[in-house]
Amino acid sequence: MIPPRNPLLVGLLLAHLGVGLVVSGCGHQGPGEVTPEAGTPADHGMALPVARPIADSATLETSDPPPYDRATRLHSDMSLVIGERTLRPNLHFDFESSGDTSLISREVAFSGISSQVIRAGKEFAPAIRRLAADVADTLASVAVGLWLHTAAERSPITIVVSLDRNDEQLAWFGREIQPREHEPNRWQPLRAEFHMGDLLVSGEDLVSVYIWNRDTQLVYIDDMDVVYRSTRMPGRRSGTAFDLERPAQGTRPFARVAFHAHAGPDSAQHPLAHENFYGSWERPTEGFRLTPPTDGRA
Amino acid sequence: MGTTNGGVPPDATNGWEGITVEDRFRIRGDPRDEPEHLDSLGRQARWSRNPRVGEYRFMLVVIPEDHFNKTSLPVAVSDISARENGRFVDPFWYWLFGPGAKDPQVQVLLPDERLRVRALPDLGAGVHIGKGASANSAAFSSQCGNSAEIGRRSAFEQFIHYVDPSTRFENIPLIADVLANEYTPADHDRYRCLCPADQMLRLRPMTTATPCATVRSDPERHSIELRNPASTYGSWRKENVGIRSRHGLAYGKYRVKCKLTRLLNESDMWVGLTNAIWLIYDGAPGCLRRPCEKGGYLSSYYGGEQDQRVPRVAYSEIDFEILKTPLYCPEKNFPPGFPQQLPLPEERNAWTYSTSDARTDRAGMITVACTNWDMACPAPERFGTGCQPLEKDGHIFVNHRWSENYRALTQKTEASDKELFGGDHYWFEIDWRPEGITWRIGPDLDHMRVVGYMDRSITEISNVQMRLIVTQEYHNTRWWPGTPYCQGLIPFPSKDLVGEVLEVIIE
Repeated sequence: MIPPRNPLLVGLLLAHLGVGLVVSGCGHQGPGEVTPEAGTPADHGMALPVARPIADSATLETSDPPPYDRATRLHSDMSLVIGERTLRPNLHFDFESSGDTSLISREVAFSGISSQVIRAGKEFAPAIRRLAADVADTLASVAVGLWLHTAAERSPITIVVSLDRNDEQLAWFGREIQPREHEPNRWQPLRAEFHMGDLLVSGEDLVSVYIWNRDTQLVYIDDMDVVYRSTRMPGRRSGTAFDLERPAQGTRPFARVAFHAHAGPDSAQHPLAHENFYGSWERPTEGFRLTPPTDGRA
Repeated sequence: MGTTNGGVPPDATNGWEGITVEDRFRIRGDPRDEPEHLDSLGRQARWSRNPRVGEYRFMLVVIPEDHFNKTSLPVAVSDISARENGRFVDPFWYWLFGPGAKDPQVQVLLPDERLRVRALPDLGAGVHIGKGASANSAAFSSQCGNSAEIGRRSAFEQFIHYVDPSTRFENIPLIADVLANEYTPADHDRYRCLCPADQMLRLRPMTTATPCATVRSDPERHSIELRNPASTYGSWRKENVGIRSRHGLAYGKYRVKCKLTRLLNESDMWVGLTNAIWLIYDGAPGCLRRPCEKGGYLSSYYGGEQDQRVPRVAYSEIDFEILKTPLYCPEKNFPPGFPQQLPLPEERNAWTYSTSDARTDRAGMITVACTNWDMACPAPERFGTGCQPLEKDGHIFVNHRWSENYRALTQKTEASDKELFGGDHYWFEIDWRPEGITWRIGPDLDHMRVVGYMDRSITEISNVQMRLIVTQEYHNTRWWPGTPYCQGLIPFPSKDLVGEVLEVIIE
């Protein structure tokens, strides 16, 4: 409608997306929940952000502990090299294979034939750990999605993301299924996105993602996604957009843009009319044809 | 209520067969002459409390003359503007259930006949241009303008959006006919991933620079056409368009027959518009919401989280907003986990965003968002945050509020874009009552279905009179988290996006 949400509110609203029942950030404890320290897996070993295809070609070997040692290649393989860093921001686990088969089960599966199993009494699944510099340009948020199946009457699972700098925990986020939305004995989604907000994340900060099983019931997890989002598109050419409300401050004329050749105006209207911003779908490697700079920049 | 003329005709009696009572009355605005409904010049602003639509009952109270003269009726019973113990007296209560009902010499007659009052504002009577619009009169005509004559006859005015700085976004410099399938979700993802930041255009949604150019009242068809104008090279516009009724009403069933523009193309790409049918307070003198009994309202629309709380506010809004965005509920399925794109020109798989399998909305479907702006009054017993179910007639309506200081409660359902905007017309109805609001849609008035329902147990419902607005408007998609398409990655329109309002009934 007419703009209802001012910038402050938008910020709050976006931040809220990451706020489930048990979210806390920057060391603040979530309402009625245990301390962040209590919700932390024992394994603090850091996984290196390596990933390489293995023989079956459908999976990608990671340095994460089982059952996260084999990610689905199709969704996890994309990486971007920036200087000496290799960003790999997307991970998907279908749990069809693992170096430790005791952590996957063929009892039930949301897709394929197997799923991750968190056995009764096991409080934490292993953590997926990354240096922020290995997953994001500047880390803006971490999104986690999974499908879970349990007989428990109350959802026992909390998705947890923590951010640590040296020995200090900078933030701890958690999300679980609301009791009124929980459906025992059937596959159900649980998604969360945890926004870093005003937190200035350094490349050396450690980002941990793990599942906290607060009950003693058996839980199955399948098709788990982890997405590390950057504040801006990593590797994309940066710059300042041309402000239509302050055209005098701009120095660069626009390219003619057209989707198809026939969609444009009279080609004589613009000195750059021969430029077509939009590349051909049939030749995607051409990418975009960009406006030739006219402001003296290379 | 109002003025009374006539009385008992001299030859109306006929022995013991009774008499015929004839009377006439006029329903007028602000019948109690309440002091808060004065305009800035101290005049009674009857328009600020217009007569209500709906069904009126009649009651005839007969008292023998000598008994009437001996009985001292409370002033508040014979004069609706008077108060007793600080409160007005409902004459129906007084004579049917109160002290009047106990008087054996009083006869109360309730005829079956009822008066059905409804408003049928004529869409063909022109469009008035109000003071808030640009002074450019280049597009004025006999059907649209700011003349006194058009002001007298037109029931609608061109609505000029207030465009807040928070609506600013960056858009790709591309003009295309999305509805003709010139742009697809794959294109959106490609631009999102690869278009350099310094090639973007920074702008806000715009309002018309030429009033009357984008709204057209048709006296033959009794309709009003709305046009979001096409962009041309050098004139990049995402321009909102809309109309607003010129008379506010409190409560009623607002039924709008319209054919608004399609929102999706064949590839499920969104054109970027939100079609909206909504009510907004008209700022009339004396029009404040009933007090928020607990906690107070947030005092202003734009005040943010730290806004102060006050007992009463004027701001009121009830919306249909229809656009491409996912459902927020159940919470466990939100937000969609779109992948982080990587700008690898050779790897299309790295560009996927809206084309990924993370989507939770369905192809061909748009979301009908029904919203009541309650200014975060926490008084309702079930006031809360997150997703909250509300049962009505065996149907569960799931409400969503972002936080305790969020000023609106929303319900969302999916509907087919083709069904709502692909045919000759569709009906949208906001049934606003003191105790609840019901949103209905349907192909005709005999086949309406409920898509939203809220009551006072979960949200404070306004009693302030409001005006009807129909718009096709561009929103910053940051307002709608989880939306698969970003407003700035949707091209400027190469053709006008046309909608038409065909009929309005308020009853």
